[in-house]
Amino acid sequence: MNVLGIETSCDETSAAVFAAAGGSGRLLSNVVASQVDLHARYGGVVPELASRRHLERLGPVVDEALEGAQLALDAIDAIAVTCGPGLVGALAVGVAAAKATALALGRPLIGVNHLEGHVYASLLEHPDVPLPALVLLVSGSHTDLILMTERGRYEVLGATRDDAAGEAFDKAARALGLGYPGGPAIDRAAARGQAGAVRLPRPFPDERSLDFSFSGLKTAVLRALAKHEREGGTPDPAWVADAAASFQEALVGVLVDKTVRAAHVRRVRAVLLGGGVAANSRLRRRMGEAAQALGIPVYVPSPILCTDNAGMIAAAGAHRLARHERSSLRLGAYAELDLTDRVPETGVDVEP
Amino acid sequence: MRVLGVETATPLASCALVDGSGVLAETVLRGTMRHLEWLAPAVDEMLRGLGLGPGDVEGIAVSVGPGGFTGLRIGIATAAAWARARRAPLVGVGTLEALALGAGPHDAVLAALDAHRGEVAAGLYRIPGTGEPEPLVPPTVAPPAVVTAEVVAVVRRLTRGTEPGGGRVLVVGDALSRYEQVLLGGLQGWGTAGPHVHPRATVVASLGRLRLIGGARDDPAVLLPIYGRRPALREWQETPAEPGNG
Ligand SMILES: [Zn+2]
Repeated sequence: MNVLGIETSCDETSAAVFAAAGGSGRLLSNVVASQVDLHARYGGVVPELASRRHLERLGPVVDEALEGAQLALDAIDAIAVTCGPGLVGALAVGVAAAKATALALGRPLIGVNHLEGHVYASLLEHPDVPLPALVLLVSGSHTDLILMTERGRYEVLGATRDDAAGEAFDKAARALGLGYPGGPAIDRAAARGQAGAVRLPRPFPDERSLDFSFSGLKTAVLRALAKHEREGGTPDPAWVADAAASFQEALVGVLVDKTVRAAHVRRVRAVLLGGGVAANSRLRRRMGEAAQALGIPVYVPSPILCTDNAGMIAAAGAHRLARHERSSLRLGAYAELDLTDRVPETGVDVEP
Repeated sequence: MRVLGVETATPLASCALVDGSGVLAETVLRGTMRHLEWLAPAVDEMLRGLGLGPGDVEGIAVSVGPGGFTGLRIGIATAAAWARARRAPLVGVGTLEALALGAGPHDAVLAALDAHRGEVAAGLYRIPGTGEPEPLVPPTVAPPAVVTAEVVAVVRRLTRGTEPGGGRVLVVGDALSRYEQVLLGGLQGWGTAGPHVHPRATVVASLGRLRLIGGARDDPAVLLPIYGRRPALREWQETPAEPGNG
């Protein structure tokens, strides 16, 4: 069964074709048109601009995905689309196109929770991940620690109380004059710096909670910069590199510590990393070392599967379709959608 | 040619099916349902009600604005995806020309929609007995006084400087609900208030059908809304603090 996936929840316009076979399958194509350049000068995603760009790009991106899969649109058996969480105006473009395609071709439609898509990004390349597994999902929009007991069954153990991890990277990078997107910029600068050379607090180290909080860390970076200048220093490249390394170490440290604590308490058999921040070299290294000490494997998807992409949406949708779930044509776009929520207008008993 | 019309530029969305015999069916969005949830089921039910299926739609016409940004994108994304899926011809129709055409034959119709934030989306058209609306002032999003000044200048030129009066410009659209006094005052005696209506999918479909029969085609990959204003932080726009809009 060939599933066309569509993803427009934030600032990537993406379409993919997933060939489902039994309980697994493979991606025939996965096209991502990034809007990073468009939003760079604003230092963050501008929702109205993102929605405009999705409408401009979605058709050509779908065509490219079909070409990549060497399939015509009428050879598609079902359509999977991200319906939340995300920016409502951005999601609406993808959902409207998916519903029209499903209706016009008489194919089943499945609305997919974007967060479940990220989980499937790991499962795509590692279908035999031992369960239960812990998923650390970190990006510009998400910071979630998710326990997966079996496919489709999740428990959210922790989430951010303010900024997402990627957002914290963006804000720190802006404060340090390192540009946008902040994740890769900090990662590069940190490689030349000394972690701990600039004193920063560990963000929200509360032992009892698996939630995260990063806004204090951003404030601490700004305060350290002000103090450095007050003491006659200049934010020269060497100091900025030290600050970047210190910031990165503090943020990565708390991500790893809480993941390890949850992994230990819930006796998980694997750790999955997902989201754009999973590309961070320091996070990968420290998580790998920590998991090795616990004797469990860490899985990190390839870069295209770490960013928002339709391949993971098609894969998650194929799994739901195989369980006879369908969405009605009344499917909407939902800004807030928890991983444990049932997707609205969707289920085994829903009239198409 | 059986043509599906989609009109989602205003809060009162509609969809319609027309052919050479006239309007086959129209469905208007009622209540508080949102455009995205409403549109696809409405088209589905309309076709079923006529005993037709998706393959019986031979062309698609969609309202392209100016209007509510999210609504326009939902309509265009729907129409374009349908056109690609069924390889059906697609054509865009201006929201204001459809609104003006709905008023019937008239020398000068000012179609005006409330664009919020003290602005209206407006265009002036001559509506002939048959055929295409003729644009006299193209679609503009601006304060009502700016629109009426431009309309008065154009009408003066067209009537070669005769004295204002006679209510020759028929004003239609939901902008009248908030700006009737301002618009009529600005038109200096040229204006008459018509109905406070929204554009309708029947008119979008009928005008689109004429254009499709005449050979007009829009590429679904490049058909985009006429936004009429730059993406500043406006009421019609989603912000992180206030996701979604009309
Ligand atoms: Zn994401």
